[in-house]
Amino acid sequence: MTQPAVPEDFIRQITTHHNALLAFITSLVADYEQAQDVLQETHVELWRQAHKFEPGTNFFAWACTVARFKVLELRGRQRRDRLIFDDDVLEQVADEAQAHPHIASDDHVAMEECLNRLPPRQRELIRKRYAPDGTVKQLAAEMGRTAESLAVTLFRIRKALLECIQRKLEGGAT
Amino acid sequence: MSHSPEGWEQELERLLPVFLDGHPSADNRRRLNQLLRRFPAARQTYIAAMALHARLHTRHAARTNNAAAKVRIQPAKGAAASSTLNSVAQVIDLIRRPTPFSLSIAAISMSLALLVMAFLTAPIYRAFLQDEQQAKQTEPELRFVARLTSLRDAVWQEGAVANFAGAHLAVGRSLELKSGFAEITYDTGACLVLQGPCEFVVSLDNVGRLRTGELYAYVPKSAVGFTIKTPQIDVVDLGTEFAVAVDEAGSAYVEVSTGHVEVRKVAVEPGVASQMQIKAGEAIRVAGTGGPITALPATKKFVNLSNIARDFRRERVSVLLTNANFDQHTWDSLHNEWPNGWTSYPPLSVGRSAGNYGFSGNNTPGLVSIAAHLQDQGNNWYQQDMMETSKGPMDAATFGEFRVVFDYGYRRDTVTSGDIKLRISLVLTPSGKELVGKELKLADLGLGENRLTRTEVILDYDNERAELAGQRVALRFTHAGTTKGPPGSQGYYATAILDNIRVAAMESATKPAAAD
Repeated sequence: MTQPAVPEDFIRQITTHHNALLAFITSLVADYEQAQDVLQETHVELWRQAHKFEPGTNFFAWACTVARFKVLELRGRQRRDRLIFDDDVLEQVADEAQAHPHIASDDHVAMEECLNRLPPRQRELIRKRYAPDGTVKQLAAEMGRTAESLAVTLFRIRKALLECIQRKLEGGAT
Repeated sequence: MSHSPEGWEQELERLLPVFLDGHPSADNRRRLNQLLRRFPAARQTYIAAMALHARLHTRHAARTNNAAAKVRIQPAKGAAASSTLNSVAQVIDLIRRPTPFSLSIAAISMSLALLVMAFLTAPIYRAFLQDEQQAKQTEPELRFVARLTSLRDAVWQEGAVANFAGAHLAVGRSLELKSGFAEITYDTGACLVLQGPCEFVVSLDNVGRLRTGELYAYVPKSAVGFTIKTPQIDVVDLGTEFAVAVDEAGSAYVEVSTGHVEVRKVAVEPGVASQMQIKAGEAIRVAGTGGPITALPATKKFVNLSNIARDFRRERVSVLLTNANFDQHTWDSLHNEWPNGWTSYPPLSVGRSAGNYGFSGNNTPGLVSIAAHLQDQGNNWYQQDMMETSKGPMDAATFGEFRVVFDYGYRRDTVTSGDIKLRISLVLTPSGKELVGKELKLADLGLGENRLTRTEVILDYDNERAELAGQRVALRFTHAGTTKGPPGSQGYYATAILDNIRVAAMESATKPAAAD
């Protein structure tokens, strides 16, 4: 059996852009679980077309195009009244997300530093929220709070994180 | 819907938590579309929030599941080798993950299959699997089998963690109650009330260990077999209510109120019966040094505890409070805003010297959400008319007992000055006449970390007085001064923090039962 050639650069690119692509898709479907499914289909499609990949070209732009197509396919299977975005808004978000600094730059160091700057209780809350199988409903029950109030708290922590990451992306000291 | 250029931000901050952590409604979706369509900056904010959301998911999933893989996959043979292995690891993850779209794995190219095969047989992958298995063995899984369902005047040992009403209790969780009462309800339905001082451990799904202290257990049919372990005996329920007391020497006393229990000795001793069944009205005792199970007449020493246990089980009616966690939008008295739903004294017109304000996060270090603050400004308060869920305003004559659960703390990051007296009261509105009130002392522990503690306060009054009918009743929290001086003398030096308020009204029709 002959092994079809897969460009080494393709493998490197699909690895490098894994997180950025997942973030891009998440912004289009507004649901992480659904985004993982779309990413899975996108990866399969990219592997199918790996032979078309030309080293030196913009892999992420190509991957985003495939992902957008997969998101449209998903929308075709969903009930109309379940769709998060109207078509025109989806187009706007997709165009801008592809070039958005928080998506294009997968800066782990900035995020780690900013997570470490959070007060311990906030950091712990984020850890629990994003633990596998961690749900806001369950976490809220453990804390004796409503899911709604916990969601607001989590959002404020994320906002502080985003501001911190933004400052780092812009080259600020803190 | 129209938004001013300044208004979109606030609206987006209201919507994003719903999309990130909740269940957006059709109206939520419509509003988000309108915002993103119209405001480019809103789109940028939305995309940044979703990108962070995805990255946090990826980061934590990787940390918990693939830590071993990340350690193992090092560029031993150059960067290209590392990339290959990483991508294969991700593709393996891709294959493992179930998909709702009936993805045909056969569609994946043969080159990928070969790569995966090569990786699966490599020593590096076997090492990864071993690490993963070891990680599973070394990280004990928390299994929650019970909850702390009610507290009354409960004081826990120093260092006790999160023993608040509603807390889930995992297998192995130890509870050290210094004083007061705590009700634990197992998922099986078994329910018990601890009386402090008491040391209790949630042992298994339907088992608890009483090291010292007293408890009263109510076991429904669903939980028959519920067992309380003590140093000398196991008390196995056969569908009943019973009390157990263990003293410091380890001797145990068991008294049955209704039904039967079986008492089994932990250690078998020659010539000593190893088990005995006892029924309602009977009691037994076993010495801490062992020896026989001695039958005794029941002394009914647990009358008070059994009444409290019944009291805990009375039906409760949730009272509706608006913005009970003070988190609706940001608010700040320094900018002449009060929290939605609440009224405050001094009134808004007094302005920035009022001393009631809402801060969190960077403003009050250690807090994770907005909380109400009360400086010592002379009996300043927050107040809200209570609403009986779905029935409108709470009538002062309907209920005579209210359980108020809330988080409180002493702001300690900048300055402190004397123990704070925080008064929790029920008042008639609009007259402000107090029906009942209790004072909570917030000890001055000096500078330190801001930390909120959850507590429960019972407020009861005679609701059968004719003049109460038709009057509204409100919940009020008052800064009633400090031990350093009269109310109003310490200003911001003695600031109390208040958050996450819940109120339940007790059904007045069911009075505590008399002792059997």
